[in-house]
Amino acid sequence: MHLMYFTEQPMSAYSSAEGLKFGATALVFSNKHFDPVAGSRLYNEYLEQYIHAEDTGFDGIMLNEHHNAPFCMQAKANIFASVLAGVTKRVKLVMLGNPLPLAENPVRLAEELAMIDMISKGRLVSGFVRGGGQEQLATGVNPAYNRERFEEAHELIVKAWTQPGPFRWEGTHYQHRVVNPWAVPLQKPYPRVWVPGVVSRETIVWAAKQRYPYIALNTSIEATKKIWETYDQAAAEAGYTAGPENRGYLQRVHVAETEEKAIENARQFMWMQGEFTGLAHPVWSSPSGYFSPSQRRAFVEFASGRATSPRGRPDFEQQMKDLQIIAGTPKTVIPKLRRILEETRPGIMALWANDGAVSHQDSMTCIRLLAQEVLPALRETGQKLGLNSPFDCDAPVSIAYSKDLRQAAAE
Amino acid sequence: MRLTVSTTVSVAGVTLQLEDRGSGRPLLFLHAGEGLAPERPWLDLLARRCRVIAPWHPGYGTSELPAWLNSVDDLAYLYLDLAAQLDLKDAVLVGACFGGWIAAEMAVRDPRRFGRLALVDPLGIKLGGVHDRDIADMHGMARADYLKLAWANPAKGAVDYTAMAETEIAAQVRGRDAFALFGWKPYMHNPRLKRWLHRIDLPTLLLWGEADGIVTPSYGAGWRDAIPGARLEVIAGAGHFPHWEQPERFVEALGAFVAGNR
Repeated sequence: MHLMYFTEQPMSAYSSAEGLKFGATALVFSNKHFDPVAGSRLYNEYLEQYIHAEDTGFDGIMLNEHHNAPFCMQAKANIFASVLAGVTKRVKLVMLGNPLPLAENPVRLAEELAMIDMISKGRLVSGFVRGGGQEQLATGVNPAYNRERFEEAHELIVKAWTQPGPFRWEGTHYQHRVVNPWAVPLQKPYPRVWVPGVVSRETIVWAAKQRYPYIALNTSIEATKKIWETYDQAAAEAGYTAGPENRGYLQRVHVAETEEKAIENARQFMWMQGEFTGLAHPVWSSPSGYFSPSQRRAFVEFASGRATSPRGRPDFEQQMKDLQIIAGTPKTVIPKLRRILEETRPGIMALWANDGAVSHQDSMTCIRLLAQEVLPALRETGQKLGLNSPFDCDAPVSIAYSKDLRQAAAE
Repeated sequence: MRLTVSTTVSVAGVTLQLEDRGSGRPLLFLHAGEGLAPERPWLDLLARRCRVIAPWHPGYGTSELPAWLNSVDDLAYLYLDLAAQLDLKDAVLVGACFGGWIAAEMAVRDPRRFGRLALVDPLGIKLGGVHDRDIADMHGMARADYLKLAWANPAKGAVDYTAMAETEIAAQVRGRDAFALFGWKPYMHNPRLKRWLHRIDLPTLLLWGEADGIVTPSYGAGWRDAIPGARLEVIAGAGHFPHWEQPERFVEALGAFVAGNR
């Protein structure tokens, strides 16, 4: 198994009363509430926590980015990946990921990621995402072109990583007179690409067609099983059999020395979900054109008052009950995490351990307890269940580098 | 919303759906970003005075949207081709909201088929500075806020989605997606258009809803000043869609302009 540490890097040091008063804490909630002194402190605490995660035994650190929102301080995941490339020695730097459609110049991304891969001596996992609906508004990119830009940028980056330059690129969304970056990845054929997601069927199918692992972001057990059904079917059509090495899962889990402390801190997971501060307006997460036809219906039904939000969230107690949030001492969380492994069977597991205003000290304790007491138990279960990561079984980086494909015509 | 369309015509490789009602002087009506809504009374009122040809923009309702068709330029050329194909002569070119933008793009290119131009609360030009928002951000606000800006009486614009058939909801959302596709960036305008509005040499009427909060009457004054000889007429009790909110007043004002009385 590949076990990694994740935090959204919350910027919790602002007045939640202001957020409640404004009615939202994203996009147009003024950045006058951002305190750079607190921001500087938090960035450095998060850095210390990542180093602690490596020191105590995590396999990887998962990074992401968001814009115009306090729930995630990373405006550019490549910046933190660069810092970690220099200050860590062993952990994989798992970016989940760079939002491709927001990029005006994917060749710059290819260069930055190649630099991170070389500085880290080949520890980069370069995930790509479409970016949430709100990110399209924050960056002004036309959501109607989201998927087109995602696919074209991906194609361009992979070509820049794998084909010697110079070459010309005159695409629909990207035009380059010369693509010839003097920085190429250390890992061959190219760094592993993992694709995280929540709801979009099209993205699951796309990832399966590329043979890129899909990382289900804290989806319910039932929804996760449906995701694997979709993935497995697309994989079979592409000529291979998907296994745990194609599956990742992100789980909210907080541990502490006592049950009470763990549950008190785990309530901070609700901070991001808006219980304390309102979060985003639904309009911002679904700008016109962003959704595919299959997705659109669910959101229309929600917008029309016919259905509850497809991203609607039950309360804290219900989420604890459904294992959407797990909290406790190492002893009490291990059986619950085992159940998640048994049900969702991922080869890649991200533990989203700290959120909201959990203190630096409690975060460090949580990381230490997870690494020293919980991870060994998960590895043991993973071994028993045969949950191999892409690294464990040396899975091909993509469909193009697969040597085991069934020939559809021959069958 | 009615999903049945009266006719289809193939133009420049695109199958266009259109409403074709009434007889007499042809009037090409280009609909708003919100859609055509041919079931509302305005279209039949107008058809009593002239022959109204009202295409559904590609991507709206059930109309075809080819992948290559993604700009207002494309729409302008498409409808110029339509006018030629229908052999329109001395026609009245009318565009509301987003359709007004398309109509203006057509008029600066080639006015040969048309004798008059009427723009109803059009989007499409930039008047203010970098921090000024000439056109309300329709894609970044809640529906209730949008209705307050777009209608003099927001209750008249409200739609009961719970009573709407799924196919109709899907058709409406399709239109909103297409609206975003055509106008997301730069937001609902062409930075170059204002500079070329002086080329319009058709008698031009700007009809404006008094209470329009999407593009205000003062934005309408900017249009008037940019088109030689244009007149601005304000319709009371209407917001961004005078043809829906005040159909009688709208048809009266437009009819008088078409007849050459004002």
